[in-house]
Amino acid sequence: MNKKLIISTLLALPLAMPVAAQDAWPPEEVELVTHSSSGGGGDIMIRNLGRTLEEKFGIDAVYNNRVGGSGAVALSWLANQAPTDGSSIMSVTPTQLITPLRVEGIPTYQDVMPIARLMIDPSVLAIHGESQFDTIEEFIDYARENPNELTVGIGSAGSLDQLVVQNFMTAADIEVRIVPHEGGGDAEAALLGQHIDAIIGEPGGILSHLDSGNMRILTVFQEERLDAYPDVPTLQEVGYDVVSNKFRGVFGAPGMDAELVEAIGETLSNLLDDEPWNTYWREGSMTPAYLGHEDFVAFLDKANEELRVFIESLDD
Amino acid sequence: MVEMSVLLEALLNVLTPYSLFFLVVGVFIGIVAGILPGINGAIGISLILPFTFGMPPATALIMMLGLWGGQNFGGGVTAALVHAPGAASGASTLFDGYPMAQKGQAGKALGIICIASSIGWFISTIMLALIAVPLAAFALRFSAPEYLAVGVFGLSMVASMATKNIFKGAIATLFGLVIVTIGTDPFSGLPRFTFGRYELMDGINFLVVMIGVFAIAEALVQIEKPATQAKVQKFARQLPSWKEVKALLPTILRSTGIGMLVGTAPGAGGSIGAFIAYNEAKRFSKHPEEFGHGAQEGVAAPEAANNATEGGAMVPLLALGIPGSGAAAVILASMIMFGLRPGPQIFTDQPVLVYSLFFGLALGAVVLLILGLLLTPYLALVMRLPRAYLITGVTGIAFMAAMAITGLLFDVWLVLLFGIVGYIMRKLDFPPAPMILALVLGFMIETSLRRSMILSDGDWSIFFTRPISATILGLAILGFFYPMIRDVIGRLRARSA
Repeated sequence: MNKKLIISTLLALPLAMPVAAQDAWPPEEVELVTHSSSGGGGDIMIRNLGRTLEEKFGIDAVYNNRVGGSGAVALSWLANQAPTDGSSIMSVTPTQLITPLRVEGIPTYQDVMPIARLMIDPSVLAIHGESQFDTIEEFIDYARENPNELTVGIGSAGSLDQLVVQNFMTAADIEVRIVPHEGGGDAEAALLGQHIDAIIGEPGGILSHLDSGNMRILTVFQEERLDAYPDVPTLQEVGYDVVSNKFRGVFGAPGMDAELVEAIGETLSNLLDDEPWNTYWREGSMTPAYLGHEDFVAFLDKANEELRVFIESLDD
Repeated sequence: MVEMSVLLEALLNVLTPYSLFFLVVGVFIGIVAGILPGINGAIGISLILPFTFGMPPATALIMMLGLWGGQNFGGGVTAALVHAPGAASGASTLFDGYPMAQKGQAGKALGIICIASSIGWFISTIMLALIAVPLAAFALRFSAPEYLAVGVFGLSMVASMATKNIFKGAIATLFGLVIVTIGTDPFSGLPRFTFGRYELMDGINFLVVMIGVFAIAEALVQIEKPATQAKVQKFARQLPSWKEVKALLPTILRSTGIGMLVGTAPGAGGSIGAFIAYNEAKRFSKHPEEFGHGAQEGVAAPEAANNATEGGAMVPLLALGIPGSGAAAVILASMIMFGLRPGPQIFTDQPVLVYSLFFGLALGAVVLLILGLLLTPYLALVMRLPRAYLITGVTGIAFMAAMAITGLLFDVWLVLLFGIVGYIMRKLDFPPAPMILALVLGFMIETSLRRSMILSDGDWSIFFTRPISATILGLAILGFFYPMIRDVIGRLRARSA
């Protein structure tokens, strides 16, 4: 066998790939971008998503952490430099709404292409296993009788978690002290050491502590109860309408073809039963909450308005 | 107690050629990642992550842990050779490592870094295996007031760092604390002193400042010198003698203990542990005046401590599922990807895996010792480069590192700016070390002070009514006044004599 033959065979290989790969998404190589650093929430998401795409479609996934400026670096890249052929998509969370509201001049969701909402990360109110409270009603009653005594830890200031606590306080007419930390892990450690009374967290992050009984969940800030914790009531059931919309989705570059956007959304919405994506969202007690481009934009409009009012109130 | 069969199975797990091979590869990649400024442990681990998917979890994790330990050694190597730390944890190795290398003892400096790193790593692993669970319970007693006390304790070192002129030291410290306030206010979530630049929203990375203040400023200073090649390079490759190592053992052991304790508390980290160990080494030393001019203890202490911190950081990671550093966060994420769930139960649910990790870590320390000592003579060859080439290379690497840390051109300008700041500080005789210390500790001090105030509802007694925080604060006050007290006692003695 001569060298030429080998080379020409190798060169011809891509041509032999299924034709379908060219019309639909994903292409042979997909770049998955996140604003999180290695090990952060967005990073874990794209790595699970990428591996699922690799295994299902036999493509290559490339991961790119465009860290900096609380997501501003990644957003600016997406709005100005990202390719529009669908070979690059970026994971998004409410951070991509909050950061442009805090600093002017950063591209907003309106300057890029919202492709799809994929998941809702549930927020829960968790307490220490040895806490005096057994139900959310007891917690609220105590807080009402002892204003400003209970402390509730959150991952970081000016985040969606803080908005949830504030809405909770207004709705239930209680006062608690909000204690910001340097990330969810720090808040968990503070709760485990019983330095604070409760945290706002995601069940996925505190799973092992829930299993061991070192932490308990009092209530869920979403419309449905969690499958994994069917006995824990939603706050709505208790009579206070507070829902956290901590979404996870993907954005693309502005000016992407409408059909392509739809194709990406389609593909991503059909991954729910594929591994490791399936394990990822189930272990994290996430709720699949697919919204295609148009519905996602409508959702973002509403969420953005609520966050705008909240961010403006921080200045007081 | 753990059953013998579990230990045996774990040991056999690690001693397979397959696991050993990847452990060696992991340590080696770690050393390279540590040497390259801008590539830290977290980035290194995520780079090898895709290659570990096919491996059994124990092998993959052992490889990552090897990388984690190796990068601490590499960080110290760069600090000693080119006056800029290759990784954050090597920051305080620079103070004595660089003067040693300049005196023609590069081989000795690197040898000490390697030996101290390995011992710190090995002992902390053994301790970890023995007392991880009770240690984790102790770590949980750390709340905001305790973290503040640790921060203040660290800052009290300024007094002994700025021996020449305490006022210039204080000014440098304040300058560092001011730089830390740039970024996002951690308690309102709003931008603070960012001048409308989104590049500043996450604050100024302290490695960017260090690279400027040390590497670029050093290059500027070197440019002024006449272009003669110093003749001290003759012994550059000589390793430390057994006698020297033996003399360093007490320092190494003490620093290991310090590093481990600091590492156990999530939220402190390798650079803080190294700084504290450095200062304690100076305080215990019989010849503290040599520190800053190439004292061997000054190299051994931070290196033993920063590797021990990684061992310590395994405690909250394994026992609580809480990562204490970026690298730990990546390891946690990979554990979850492999279907493992760190937490108190992992010791009972997956004992074989946990003890495989411990054996792997302990072996990793041995691998580092061998690899490091084999590589040292070659690494020390850097010192033989003509100075003009070396300075040019360092300047290039410094700017490249600035790009690598965040990927922003903005940070390259910052490095240049801090290079000029560092140069002016050198000319006016302001010590840079207190400024770096303030940068490392400032954020923790601010957040834990403000968090304590929320927890206590504005009551300042919280710092003195909690035993751990009161003890550490007491030590800090003693440490701060110790150099002055020592002076006074010395003078009194001289008078009575």
